Amino acid sequence: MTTCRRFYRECPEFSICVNIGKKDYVLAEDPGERYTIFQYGINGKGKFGRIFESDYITFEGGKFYDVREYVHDNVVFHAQEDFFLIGFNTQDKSQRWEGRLVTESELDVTSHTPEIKYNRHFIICFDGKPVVNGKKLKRYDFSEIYPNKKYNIEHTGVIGLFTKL
Amino acid sequence: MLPNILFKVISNNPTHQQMTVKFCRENAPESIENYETYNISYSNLDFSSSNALIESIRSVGSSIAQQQFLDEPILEENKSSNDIDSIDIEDYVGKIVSVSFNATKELNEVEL
Repeated sequence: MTTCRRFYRECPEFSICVNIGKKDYVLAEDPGERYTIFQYGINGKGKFGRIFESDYITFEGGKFYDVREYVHDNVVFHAQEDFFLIGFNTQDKSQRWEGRLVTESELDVTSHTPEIKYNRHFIICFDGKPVVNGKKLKRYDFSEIYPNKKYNIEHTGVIGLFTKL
Repeated sequence: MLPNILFKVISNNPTHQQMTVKFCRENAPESIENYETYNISYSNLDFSSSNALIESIRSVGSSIAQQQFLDEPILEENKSSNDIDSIDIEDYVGKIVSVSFNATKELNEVEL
């Protein structure tokens, strides 16, 4: 039997949804429930795309995906292997976000450009136990990141950086 | 499924249109006699039928019984160990771990 365990956690600015399931599981979402704009695969593999369209993305473990363009669509995910996916969800589809994995060992979001001065930045721990400014993060821990402050990162895990524009 | 609520009318005062009642849940660890007594005004009760009367007493008692449940002390022998940060089951053997009854819906924010 193909199964999937799903859960959801939120804070005022965003939420995450987690799907952990078995090979061959099929998950469909309509635009009314779809708020995922970035996706990180902890492990496993599966095809993701718009329903009835031939184009698709293959989600793979250890990779980060920008799925903003699908947020208003009927989508489907078909697991090719047992999988563990984390989705970053906006609370408001009209709100613009940027997202990426953090690779630098010193994170600095300071900007002197006026129009992006008021962006808000958040990091989320997706995997492992990365250490930021001496604090060890666990999976799903998040923190707001402020300009004019440097964040030293020991990459003993995976961290996503999300900017609310 | 939660246990039934017990109530016992301790006194009735028609002159002042009120009564005193004790509440507890059916599987309470103590006798209902050991629980606090509450005054209930007739104005909070429904006398249209016996069922309606009991239901209106229940509506007063349910939050009281729930609070009693939440206020029960934790037995010394049920106090949990420190957080265990491990995925090795061996590290959990013989230790008491405390987790919230419902799955949390809030993300954990860390100050950096």
